[in-house]
Amino acid sequence: MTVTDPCDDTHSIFILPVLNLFLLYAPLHTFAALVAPAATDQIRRALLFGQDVGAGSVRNIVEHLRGATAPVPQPRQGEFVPAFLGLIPTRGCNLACTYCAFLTSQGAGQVMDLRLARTAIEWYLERVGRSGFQMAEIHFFGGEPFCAEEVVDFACHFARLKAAETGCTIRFEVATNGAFDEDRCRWAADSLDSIILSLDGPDDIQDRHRPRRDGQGSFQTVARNARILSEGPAELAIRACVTAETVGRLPDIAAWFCQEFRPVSVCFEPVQPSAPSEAAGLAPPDPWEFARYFIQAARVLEAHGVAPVYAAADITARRVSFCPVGQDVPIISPDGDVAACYLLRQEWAARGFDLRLGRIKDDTLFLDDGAIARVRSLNVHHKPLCARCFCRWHCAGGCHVNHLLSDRPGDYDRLCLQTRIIALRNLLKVLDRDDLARDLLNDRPALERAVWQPSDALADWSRLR
Amino acid sequence: MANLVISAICNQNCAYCFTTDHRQPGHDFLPLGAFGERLDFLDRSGIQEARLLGGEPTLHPQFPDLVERARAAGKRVVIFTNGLMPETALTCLEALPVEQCTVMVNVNQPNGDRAAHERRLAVMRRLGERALPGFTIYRPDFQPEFLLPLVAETGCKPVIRLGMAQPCLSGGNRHLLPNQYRAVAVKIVRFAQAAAGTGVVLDFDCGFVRCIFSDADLEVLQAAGAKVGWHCNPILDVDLAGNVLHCFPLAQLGSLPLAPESDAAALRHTFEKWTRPYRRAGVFKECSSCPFKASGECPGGCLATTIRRFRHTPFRVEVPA
Amino acid sequence: MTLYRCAPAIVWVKDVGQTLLVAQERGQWWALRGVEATIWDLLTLHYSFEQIVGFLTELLGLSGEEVMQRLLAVIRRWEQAGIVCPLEGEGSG
Repeated sequence: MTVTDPCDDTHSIFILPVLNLFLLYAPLHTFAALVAPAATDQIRRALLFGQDVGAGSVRNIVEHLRGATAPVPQPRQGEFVPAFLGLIPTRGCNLACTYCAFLTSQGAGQVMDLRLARTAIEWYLERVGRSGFQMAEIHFFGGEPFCAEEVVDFACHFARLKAAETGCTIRFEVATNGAFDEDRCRWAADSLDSIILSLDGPDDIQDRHRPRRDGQGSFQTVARNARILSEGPAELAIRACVTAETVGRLPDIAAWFCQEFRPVSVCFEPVQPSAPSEAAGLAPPDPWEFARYFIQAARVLEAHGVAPVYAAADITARRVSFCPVGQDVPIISPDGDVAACYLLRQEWAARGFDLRLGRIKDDTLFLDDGAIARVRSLNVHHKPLCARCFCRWHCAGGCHVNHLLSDRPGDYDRLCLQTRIIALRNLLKVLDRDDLARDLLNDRPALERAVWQPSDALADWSRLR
Repeated sequence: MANLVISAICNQNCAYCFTTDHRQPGHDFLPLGAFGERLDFLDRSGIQEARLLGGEPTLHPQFPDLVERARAAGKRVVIFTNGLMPETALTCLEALPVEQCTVMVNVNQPNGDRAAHERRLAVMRRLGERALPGFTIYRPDFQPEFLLPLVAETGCKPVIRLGMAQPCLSGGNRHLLPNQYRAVAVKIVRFAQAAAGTGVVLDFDCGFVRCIFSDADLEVLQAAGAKVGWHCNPILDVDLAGNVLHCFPLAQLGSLPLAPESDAAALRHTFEKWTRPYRRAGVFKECSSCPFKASGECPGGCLATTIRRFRHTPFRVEVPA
Repeated sequence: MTLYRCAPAIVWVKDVGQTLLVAQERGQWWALRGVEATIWDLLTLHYSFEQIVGFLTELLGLSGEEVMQRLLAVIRRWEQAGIVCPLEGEGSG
């Protein structure tokens, strides 16, 4: 069943004030332009009321916006065809990151049985083959996946063996803390395709945020491994957690990453408030500060050919769900649970979500159709706050579990604000107007006008002026 | 071909210098007598070019004499220089017929040393079409555009020799990593188009690989007149002590003596035999199953880079009887 | 029990679909594929013999005994080729 967008097409055309101009943005038309106020009015009248605009660039814009669009992103339907297979070899970890709740969870030390991994991989590759896809992907999550290294090794070897039988290409990605020995590091560089390495910054930051379980710092090991990974064939992506304390250092941290390592991308993520992070005195950064310093860091990274990532503000993404949830991704826990999310079950449950999809039992993977439908319904179409936000199809409301949205239009929270600011800058950069982004960031009232407007929809524009 | 080292002294300190693994203390310049032996070697090998290398070869106190001897032996002279040469060397070179002399001037991105850059330009102006600029790419954020006005201004040969900085086996010099090659390739294609617009063509040195360029990229390069090639062969670098190296980056692999009966073909054959096992691989993990490599179109990139991928793991395992 | 080690002259690289071994100075090379490549991978990660047997048992769906015999045969072959060598006097009996 196709979800009918409660907004008509004109609500997928957005308008934001940028100093003395307007940014007209229509993601489904793959269109963005900076337009003068008078022209904006003409465009609006033409699209909503059919008024004539005469010849010229305004007419060209109107015709483009009247033209065919990309389809409105829809939730998955029909057969469950996994985008990738997620494996959590263990919830255990060899670090005691100050903001992480995993170690305190029950069953943290449990390791996935090899037979369970085998069942999951066989099931997944059979589905891939049946769907006619030539490419399969397995992502390893944790805890720390390499705390159950035999599971990772087995999964890679078994998946390659099985994929070769069907002529399928297989890719492997791991999210890791990088605190392993050199032989393992070189293995990862040679054997995996993509490595998401958590490294929060230079030694003072890394050792404060991410110490070993024995209290010693992890920086020396992780930095050494980051250098080894930088030279290897696997793509290295660095993921750094940002706090109120470290946000002002983002540009320097970015420069340091580029100087020391060879990442293809660097992702900065504000710390997610949790009991451990609060106990450690780590607070998330102010969203305006985060956006400001993220953008400065982004410029540093871009100058080095490294992609800056703040996933919610990725304007190249068109999706109904920000994460694997709802995208038909089975994530297998060490105990054989199959879920749509790699977070701990108690986290979703505490927020009233049930993200289970099924279970592996007796060497068979069972999926529940009702569960699939329930999880697929978690999408941006059911998030009223997002309905008139220009980030709708990119951010899609962010993490379902950790980003609880208000129903009231314009009631943006911290995560919304920083997403909107960074996405706005990303759009201006694409238009080759990063200079305007700089000016806007230096003009707080103008920035607030853009970021706080309760509806970005062109159709609502006259009500906002 | 073979490169003859005549000077171990250099007046620059390029970060990517591939002689890093082969510094020879106590040997500064090649004696004239030894140079004669080198020329005999070239004769035996049927090589018509005397390719003089360093360090900075023009710093040899008897540089003009060496050039004269090479010319007397009927050799065309090729000099690999950074362009910061003494007047005596410059005078000697500018007196040579253009078709009998190529001066490969290694030009780095102009940094703060304007005086050195100006000197280099002045030298290239005087050499005219004897000079051919070379540029070594050792970081992915390279900006070669400055070379185009340099060519126009100096009247040098309208060809730019592009090289990718390769590692010595020790890794002690700045070099490009294979995971940077594709980004570099994209910039090269753009640069080739810009160069073609000014009548300049690009010429690829060793170490480039086929797969970093798409078919569309190759069409653009061909249309721009670029001399594209994927090669890695024993260069034969003959050092001051009379040792023959596969090439400087592979100095740590070992050397062969330049004996009175040695000829280039036999030396090359021996080096190829030494390195044949490593040639099964390439700079990327895909090389050993790559169709371009299998067909012989591409050797799989720089051998030094390839060999550096190999490692020894001192594992132990207790095995039941 | 015999303690084996990687022969000192052996260097290796892992490529797509095969692992290449080279005996430096001897000029010999081997391309390991399939199960042999897996065994080499595990050895370089310092898996014990027993761990490798358990791993391969699950990987190949064979019995532990079959796997052990296969593994022993591979190691003997490698010993003959000079890829691995016994460490005299360091075994546990």
